[in-house]
Amino acid sequence: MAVTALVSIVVFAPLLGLAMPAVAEGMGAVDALAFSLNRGLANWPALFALSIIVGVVTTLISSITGGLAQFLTTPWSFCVMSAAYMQAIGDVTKEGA
Amino acid sequence: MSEDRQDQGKRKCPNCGAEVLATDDICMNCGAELVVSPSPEPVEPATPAAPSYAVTQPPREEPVETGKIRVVQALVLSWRGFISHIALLVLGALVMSLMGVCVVLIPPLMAGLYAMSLSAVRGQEPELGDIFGGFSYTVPAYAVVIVMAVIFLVINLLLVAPLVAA
Repeated sequence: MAVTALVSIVVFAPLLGLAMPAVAEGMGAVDALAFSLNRGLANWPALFALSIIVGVVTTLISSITGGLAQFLTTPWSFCVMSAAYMQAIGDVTKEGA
Repeated sequence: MSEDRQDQGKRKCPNCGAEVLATDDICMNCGAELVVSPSPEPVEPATPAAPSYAVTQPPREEPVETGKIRVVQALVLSWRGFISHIALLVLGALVMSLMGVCVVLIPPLMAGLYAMSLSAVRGQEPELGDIFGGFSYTVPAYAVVIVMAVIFLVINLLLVAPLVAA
């Protein structure tokens, strides 16, 4: 279990987490995976930090409120990866921040 | 003489052409920031070198370095988008969970929820129907999920197998 969580946070989310937002934007599967891997490697520390934050917050809220919290944490975590995706494609200005 | 001195103290804004004082940091006409940089070599040693001006864009329009992900900025952006459309996004997650009982529907629904999240983070108005828009990307969504699952499985096996063998 711990190994699975470790793999998810260290490798999975940072390197492949941008693939699904790319698909939602109309990118093909191969392009989306290549984009995610490319941007994930270039921004691994930032995406790793975001994965840790999302993981910790999600676990904390779930342990406090139970399973219902997933309806809050899931869209929030999607928003976090969407924001990271927007930054990865340069679709953001300092005003937006 | 005093007019000449006054003229020397005035320059034109390189952005809009309006007259600005040499001491002005910002053009009063267009708001462009005037940055004074020293001239490389004075033309006439007898007279003081005229400061040259460079126009920089106002900070709020300055684009962020392309492709660079910033943790704090991403969290702020996502929080704003999430809070401003929290009801709709929670409803989207609820729809995804309910329809996710049928496991084969999860990948396109994930793409749909990502489409809603992207709209929210961009400051646009997401709609609940966007979650079903993910079905337009069913094939790539499935392909991505399958590839991710295979990679996840392989990495886990590579890490867990030595532990089990030991």
